[in-house]
Amino acid sequence: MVVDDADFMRMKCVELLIEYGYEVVEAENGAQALKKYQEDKPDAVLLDITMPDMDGLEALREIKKIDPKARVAMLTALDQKGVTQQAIDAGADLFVVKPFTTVKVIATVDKLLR
Amino acid sequence: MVLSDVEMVAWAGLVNKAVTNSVSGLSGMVGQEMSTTALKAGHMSAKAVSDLFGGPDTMMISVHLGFEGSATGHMILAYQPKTAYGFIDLIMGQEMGSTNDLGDLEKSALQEMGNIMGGFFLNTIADMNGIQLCPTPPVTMINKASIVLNAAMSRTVEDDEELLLVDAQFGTHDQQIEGRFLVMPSPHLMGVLRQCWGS
Repeated sequence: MVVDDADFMRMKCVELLIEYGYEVVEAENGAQALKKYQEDKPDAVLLDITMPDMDGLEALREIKKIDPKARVAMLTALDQKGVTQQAIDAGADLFVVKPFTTVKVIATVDKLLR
Repeated sequence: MVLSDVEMVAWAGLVNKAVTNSVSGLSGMVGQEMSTTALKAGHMSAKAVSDLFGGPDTMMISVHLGFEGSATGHMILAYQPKTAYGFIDLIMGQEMGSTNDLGDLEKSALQEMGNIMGGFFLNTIADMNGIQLCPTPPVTMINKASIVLNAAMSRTVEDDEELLLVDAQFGTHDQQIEGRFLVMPSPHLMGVLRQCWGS
C-alpha cells in the first residue's frame, strides 16, 4: 500500500511498483490508510510522513495497533535524527528518503516482504 | 528581529549549506543538475520583497510551506507562471512547453517540489543545530505577488517591520528555467538558533 497525500508522488510510486509486478493499494491520507489496511491487509506499506490531519507517524502508530506485525517503510524528505527516531520508536522498519529512485523503492519493498 | 554581525555570519553560513542541500534535493527529483544562481540572507522591507517579483501586481504561482517543531517559520517557492510550467515539465519528464495550465496533478508536482526543497533545507538547519523542524503540507497559490507574499509575511512580521529573509535563486545550468526559494524564519526560530549558538 502506498500512502501519500501528494497525487504526483503517489502516482509515480504506484506506477513503478505495478511495472515491477506488484499489486498496489493507494491511500491519500492517514485515515484512509487505516481503513484500507483493515480492508486489504497489504503485505507492506510505504508511508509518507508529512500529511494533513493525520500525519504518517500517527498513522504508523495506529496501523501498528491494528497489526503489530505490519511491515512499514517511511517515505519522506525529512531526514532528521529526531524524526527518524520517532518513526523507529513507532515501529517503522525502513526509510526511503525522497526524492526516491526506482532501485531504492523496489529494494525497500523487497526487504519488507522478506 | 535584528541579528548581530557575528550572528548574521553564522546564519548566512548555515543558510548557504541548507540551500545547497535543498537544490541538491531538487536535482535528484528532476534528474538533472540544478544549481543556486544567487543567494542573499539579510533584512528586507516588506515592499522590497514584492519588488523581487516585478512589483505587487505581477501574477505568481507559489507553493507555501510552514514549518513547526522546535520553531516556526515560512517557506515559499515562487515563480512567474511560465517558469512554473517549465519546472512541471522537468519534474514530469515532459518536453518543455507541454504544460500550459495547472491541473491537480501539476499542482501536486509543484507542491512535491516544495516539499523536497523545504524538507532538505530544514534537514540541514535541524541537524546542524540539534533541533527538529518539520514542514507542513504544501499549499499552492495563484495570485498577485502582493497577495501571495503578504499571506506569508503577515504571519512573520508586523507592519513596517524589516523582515529577515533568505532569497535563493536556482535553476538549470543553461539558465532556461530559474525559480526563487524564500525562507522567512520567525523571531522564534532565530531565538532557538541563538540558544544553540550560545550567543
